[in-house]
Amino acid sequence: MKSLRREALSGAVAVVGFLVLAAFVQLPFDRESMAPSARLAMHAGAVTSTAWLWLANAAAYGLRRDLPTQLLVAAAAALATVALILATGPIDARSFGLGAGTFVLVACFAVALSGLEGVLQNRLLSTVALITVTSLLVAAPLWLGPVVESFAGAESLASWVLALSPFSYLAVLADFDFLRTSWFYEHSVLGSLRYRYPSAWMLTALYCTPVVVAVGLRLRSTRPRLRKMSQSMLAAKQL
Amino acid sequence: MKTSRWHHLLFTVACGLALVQVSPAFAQNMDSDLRSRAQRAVDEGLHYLRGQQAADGSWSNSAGVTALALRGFLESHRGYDESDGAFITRPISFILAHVNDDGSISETNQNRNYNTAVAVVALKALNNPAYDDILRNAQRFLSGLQIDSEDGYEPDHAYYGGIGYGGDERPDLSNAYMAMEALRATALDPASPVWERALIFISRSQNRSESNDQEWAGNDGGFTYMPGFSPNGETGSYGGMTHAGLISLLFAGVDKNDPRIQAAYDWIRANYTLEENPGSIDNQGLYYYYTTFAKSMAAFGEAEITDTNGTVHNWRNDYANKILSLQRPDGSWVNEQSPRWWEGDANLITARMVIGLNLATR
Repeated sequence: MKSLRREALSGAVAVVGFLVLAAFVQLPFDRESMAPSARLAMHAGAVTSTAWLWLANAAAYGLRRDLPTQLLVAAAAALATVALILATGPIDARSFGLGAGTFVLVACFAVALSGLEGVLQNRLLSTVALITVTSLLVAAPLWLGPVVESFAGAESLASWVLALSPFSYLAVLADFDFLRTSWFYEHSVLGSLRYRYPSAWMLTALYCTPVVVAVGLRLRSTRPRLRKMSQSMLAAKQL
Repeated sequence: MKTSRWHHLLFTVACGLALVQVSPAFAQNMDSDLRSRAQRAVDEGLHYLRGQQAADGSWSNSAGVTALALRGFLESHRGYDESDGAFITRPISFILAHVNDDGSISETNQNRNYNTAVAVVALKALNNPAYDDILRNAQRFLSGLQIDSEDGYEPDHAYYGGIGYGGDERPDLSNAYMAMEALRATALDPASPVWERALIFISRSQNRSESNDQEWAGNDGGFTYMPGFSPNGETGSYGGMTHAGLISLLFAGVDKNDPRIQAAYDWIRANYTLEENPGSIDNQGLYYYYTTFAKSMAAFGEAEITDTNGTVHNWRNDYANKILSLQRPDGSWVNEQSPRWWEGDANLITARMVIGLNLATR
């Protein structure tokens, strides 16, 4: 039963990952005339989504789901972002910022998933919950736009809604005002209200916090073990 | 004695003739009582703005809103200028504090075109040579925002010749018209290719298939937000943008008898109203419509407009009556129906209405 559930989870995550990639490839934008900043942000977004989905499914590939593995996968995703940008057009300083942003987001989601699993004690439920919440957050500028409008377009509220979406982080790093692109302008009221993107530093701090906490907790848990080990080695030497 | 009387009579006739010469430009045909009330409304609007001004001279912490409010003061019947005190000089300092290395004038990356364009018009209205360098750089910045071959867009692309918010994304007619107003104010060479490219984009935003090569183009002569898109659905023409399109064509040096201008004017005649922003949803952008209405009618230069039912309208009277009826007791204006396009910001809307009334009563 457990094995069947694991297989189902692996399959579902693989399908979602495939759909994300397929959606990215099939997006009806004019690639040739795509704004440089849009290209950067979209590529980083595609890598982040697929890397995280792959990481959520890591056990199926025989990978451990511990912190070092998560950080390694996040680093690989960062490299993949820069490589994808390089492969599809000119590269500039923003590309490296986006690489770093990809690392932060993938690591953050991975840590969040581990934390959720610790609470719910159910991998499938945790993965589905996190995918659902993340999707809602990514789409926040779409579905929360009318709420902001009902508050007479309060600028600070609009900025908070933008901050909720992980895609805003990549957009800020790419200097990409995605709310004013044709598609968003047509589908989200936010682009016609007064708003200001949160700063890259603020968002970096926001997404780094869970990662830093996880690293801190891991160091705390390994230190007594290391101390114990060194004490026992010392005792063995004395004997 | 007789000679003196004769001279006196001649002098009186000469003065009368001189007044006749001046009067057509003197709020052409606007009722004198209404004109007085409109000027009083301007005073009340400016009084409201004085009360809302921040200590640093700005309004709404925005270079754009500050520039529009400043323009309202400068172009008012009071004839304010830099010698009138801190309420004029501080906003200028605020605007100058947001001049960027690339020539733009903006506190944010998101609205660099709008902010720079309105700041340019306000600074130009000051007629102070001290700002010439800033204006030259801003003009270069605005021209550089235009999408052309250097940005990878060939003339057959729908974006070609357009100007957007200031990032590297899609252009729209509203941004283009604002930029063109600033380029016109700073006397950009009429032979500059910027105008020619802009005309391609403007024509592609008009529902007139004879001059618009886009498949979606209709034939009512009105304008939509950008080629292939209107915020009111599909590619329908609407008031705010049709007036913006008409001004843009005039700014680009198109003759009043050009069929594109005539088609736009016919749309305005067929949809003449000040009760709503014709063609819009829920009166979104109503005050944008009022602003472009006053600008385009003033630029078109006719005192009266005959709608398609044959009714003759004195647009100045209609405009002033409507705007006065919407003024709030504190002297401000605001769009209470929709905050879209910042119309929930009373400083911005008051500044715009003051500018509109200044144009109507001029």
